Amino acid sequence: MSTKSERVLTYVVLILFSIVAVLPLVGVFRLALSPADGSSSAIDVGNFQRAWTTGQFADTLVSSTIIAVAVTVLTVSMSVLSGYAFAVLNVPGGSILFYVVLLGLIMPLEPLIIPLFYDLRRVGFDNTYWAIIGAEAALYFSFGTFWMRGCFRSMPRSLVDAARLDGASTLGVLLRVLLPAARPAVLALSVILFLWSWNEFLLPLVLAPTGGIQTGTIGLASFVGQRSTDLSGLAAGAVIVSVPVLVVYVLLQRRFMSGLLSGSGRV
Amino acid sequence: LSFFEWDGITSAEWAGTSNYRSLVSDSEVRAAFLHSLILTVFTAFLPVCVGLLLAATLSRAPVRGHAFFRALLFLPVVLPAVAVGVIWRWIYHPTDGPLNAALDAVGLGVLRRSWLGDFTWSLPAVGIMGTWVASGLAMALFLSGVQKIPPSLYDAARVDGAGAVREFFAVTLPGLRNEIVVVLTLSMIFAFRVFDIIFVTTKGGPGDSTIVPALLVYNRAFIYGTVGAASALAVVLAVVIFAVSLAIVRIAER
Repeated sequence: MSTKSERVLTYVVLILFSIVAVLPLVGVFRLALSPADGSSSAIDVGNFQRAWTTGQFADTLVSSTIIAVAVTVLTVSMSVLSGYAFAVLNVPGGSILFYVVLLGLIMPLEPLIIPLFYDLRRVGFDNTYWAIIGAEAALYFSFGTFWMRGCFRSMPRSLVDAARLDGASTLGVLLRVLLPAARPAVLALSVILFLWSWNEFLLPLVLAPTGGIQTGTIGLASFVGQRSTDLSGLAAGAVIVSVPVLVVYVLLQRRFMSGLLSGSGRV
Repeated sequence: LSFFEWDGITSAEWAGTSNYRSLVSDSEVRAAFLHSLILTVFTAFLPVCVGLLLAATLSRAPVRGHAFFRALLFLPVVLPAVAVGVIWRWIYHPTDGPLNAALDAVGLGVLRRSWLGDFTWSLPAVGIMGTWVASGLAMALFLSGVQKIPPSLYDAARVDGAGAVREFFAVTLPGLRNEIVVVLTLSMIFAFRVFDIIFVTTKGGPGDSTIVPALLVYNRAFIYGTVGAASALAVVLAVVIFAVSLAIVRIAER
């Protein structure tokens, strides 16, 4: 259909923008591997050692992992249940409740975070995993509900009715019929939530001010604050923080993308 | 909290609307919101253009390596914002940054400057970082939108002899109306809430040339200890975000 010059143009555009998207990353990776004084072109891992200790990544990456995994598991399970309730079960007052949940989707975080911090501090929850995990799960719950509701709604109603006739309980319908069918959507949601939680910055910054628990992103930021001139060390730090999300993204990329592309269409 | 004067430690004092009244005359606050408005050009307008271009290119003819390009182009979206900040600090670095080196290489050495330390250029420099991140997201949402456009429309356009450009304006663009609204809303909100990228690059500086509302809220509440005033600002920020999203949806529905 398309002419040859069009095809060429297509690839020129794609390659050009791909380079723009990836080149900064490649550059930082190279910088991180080169010696700090720039004397030779040999590969050097000293930057990574320096970044590892200054950014306290041994601790912060563990915290980040704990938080991200907990937030993902918690939010996905809550969202599956509530999405199921909103989409399939005709809960009385369901549509009003759904608007309340939607409100959480557009409500910006900033006005909430100040009272949230002082309330948590009053009950002695600041600087705990629970504070950060709970806050993030609550923050993402609206989106998760929205996502799962859309997913369950797009499934044929007859699927539910048939399972009902076979004598499946309310929970049974969800676990044995709907959930297996919704696996791509659940997977995509999990990846999104994991990435969000891993990359979250303001919440852990505010909710754990004394540094008892620090996430990878906070570790990198404090590294920036302490040694802003150590370019190659910072590059190594950025690589360290990014590698986990890159691994998750690359491994699950195909399924994540297809889930994202179809999922967002079902709004 | 926004109606109290409180330092976060001692007991709070009722302040009425004074926190709000002092916001109106606060030049720093006005600068912050103005900066957000300028940033929307970079995080909303430009990404929509780039995203449309990429989505149109990717979806027009079957492209070899479709998924590969899509994955690469989406990559900046998944990176931690803090890491994005660090990457661009390096790119913009006055002496060792590749941007200035590139300018030298093509003979435009006169243009080299300390991008993030420059009163005029720091805000656009931060904005470009936003464009870099937001374009991939816009592309992904547009791609999902293109899939919903009935293929018959494209067939009809081709029968009528429309070229790639005509086809884009006649079929793709109108078909993506909803997605454009979604992307605009998301990225306008992003421009008004941006915090982490600024926090690790300029911290609002030099002077207050890149100060943004969310950073002011954080500084005032948790650094300077003026919790009441910060809360008032946070409430205003929330109202502005609501108003902006509502306005976009309204305009789009017309």
